[in-house]
Amino acid sequence: MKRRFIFLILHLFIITGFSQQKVTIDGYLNDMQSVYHIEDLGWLWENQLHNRLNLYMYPTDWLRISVQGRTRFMQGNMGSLFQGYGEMMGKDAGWIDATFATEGTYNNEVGYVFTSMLDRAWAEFSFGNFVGTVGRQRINWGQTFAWNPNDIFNSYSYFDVDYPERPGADAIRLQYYTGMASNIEVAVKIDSANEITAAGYFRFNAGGYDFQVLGGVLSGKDLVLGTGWSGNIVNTSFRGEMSYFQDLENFQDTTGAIIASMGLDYTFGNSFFIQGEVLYSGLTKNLGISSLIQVFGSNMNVKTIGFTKWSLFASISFPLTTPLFNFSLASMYYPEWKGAFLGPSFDFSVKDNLSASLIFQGFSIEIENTPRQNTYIGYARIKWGF
Amino acid sequence: MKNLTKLIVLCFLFVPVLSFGQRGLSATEIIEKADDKFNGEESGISVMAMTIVRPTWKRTVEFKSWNKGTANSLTLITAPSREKGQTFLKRGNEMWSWNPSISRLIKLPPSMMSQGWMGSDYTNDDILKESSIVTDYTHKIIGEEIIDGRMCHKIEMIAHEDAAVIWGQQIRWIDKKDYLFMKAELYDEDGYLIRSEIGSDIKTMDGRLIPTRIELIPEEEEGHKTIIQIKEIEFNAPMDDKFFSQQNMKRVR
Repeated sequence: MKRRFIFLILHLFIITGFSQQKVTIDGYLNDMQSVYHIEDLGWLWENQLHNRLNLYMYPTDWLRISVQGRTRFMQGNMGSLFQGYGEMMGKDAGWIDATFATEGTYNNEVGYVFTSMLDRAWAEFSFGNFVGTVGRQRINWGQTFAWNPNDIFNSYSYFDVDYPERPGADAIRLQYYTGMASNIEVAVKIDSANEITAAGYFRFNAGGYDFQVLGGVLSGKDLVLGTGWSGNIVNTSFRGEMSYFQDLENFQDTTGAIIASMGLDYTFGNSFFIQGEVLYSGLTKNLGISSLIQVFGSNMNVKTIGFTKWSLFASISFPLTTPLFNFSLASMYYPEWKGAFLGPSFDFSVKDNLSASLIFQGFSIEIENTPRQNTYIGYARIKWGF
Repeated sequence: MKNLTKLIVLCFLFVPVLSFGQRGLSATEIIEKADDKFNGEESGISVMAMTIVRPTWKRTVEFKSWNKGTANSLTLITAPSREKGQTFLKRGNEMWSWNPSISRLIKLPPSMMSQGWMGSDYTNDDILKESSIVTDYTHKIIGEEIIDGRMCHKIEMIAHEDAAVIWGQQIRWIDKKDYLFMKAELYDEDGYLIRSEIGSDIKTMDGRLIPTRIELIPEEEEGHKTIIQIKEIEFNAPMDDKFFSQQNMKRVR
């Protein structure tokens, strides 16, 4: 509570202090209807009204400030089936508590949750080749698309369809650009459990490839060493990431493990886009996943991005009839679970800043010796950008 | 002494112009002059809107771009809201995109560079920087015609065999008086006409007379066109090569 208060005061100061300066505001407003069919839980539904605001301020040449937040009003019967659904929405994973949520019921049945959070609140200082960023920010070191073993500051569930921005990390990041496509940086993040993730990073470009190496401590517990690349084989993108994790407390033993992803993507002349990715995870033993809900609903960290030793991803996307109407199909395969995810979606541009989407997600898995579990989710969304 | 220096400089400035005037410009020189005029010689900064027109709909994208030579360019998308803030950097044959909402830098494959936005008749390669119409082609004057009330040179351009260009052949109409690109016909390697480009709304911008509206009309599709409107342009803006960097991709606005 105290942290939240400090946070608000800080931002009031920033907003009033610089109100005379150049300011831009943008964002979006969307409404999404979701329908879930989860085995043993039956049918669930939710309607979500969602607003995002991005505020940017440019008080001086060398200073840039941004505060961004999302506010959602959700109604449905999700809350009546999940104990503590609203409470879960109100949890902030960051060091500063900038998330607010309140819940209620109608006729003891249909519940609602109102939640608001600031997921970006940073000040960026630029002096020559040096850039320093302080505050809640997204530090994204990913190179591949479906799974990012190098994205150690902020992992997320691929299956969250309505939050492309992802949460921010409360961090200090210092970057020094050594060239056109190279930089070194150091970043330190602290989370709600006061655990520190700190790492150094070096990125460079050679022979038509971007390369990166990183090393540091993950959540105060693990040593992490990683490398990644992006380049192309003829006209096809070739990207990869690999991270090695070693428990610091048991440093002598051989508990270290690798998580690695590698992918190819190609765009044909007619806007037909095809993508494939494979993930290996040496850290699936103690995940304790017993239910499908954990698969698509979990708050992940980089060590838990792989559910099974190997995961395969493939997707295609292409315009249907007109470039305004796009179809995409994403799929995942988990050999150990004899399981698959299938996600077809339709996206239609109604006007310049208005779009409508229909998204489906189907999961079918057999976790170890448990019976097969199936889940189907449908989303219908209309989104207006401003 | 000072006046004398001035006079010598003036003489040097006029001499080449006069001699050009006397012997007439070659086809290549005409193209070069028109290209310099439009592409701002060494470097340029421009603000543009591109509208895709189809029989049943239209969509507009707006962007600001910085160019230096043919190798360096940086483009910032300013509308629509969904793409706003994204930047594209091109250095030589390499290209990156930056998406600020997810703080993600992506190295783009060459296959992505030839994609048009929203099915536009313009491709990324066009937006970022066309291949050189001066050095990648041989030029020949094949006649003169009046376009939009202006007398134009009609010039045929054939791509060099080893040139990495989209168009195997072009015919360009260049205004005789002000060296403006008034019209172009772009052909593929097999000599089929693929699209036409027509310039209009001739205005003075940054001290130069240029067509500020360009329509791209694909040959084989009825009711299809792409309209480029130049809203602001600055020629020969002083820009360091260092401007075209990943650091600046995240900063320009």
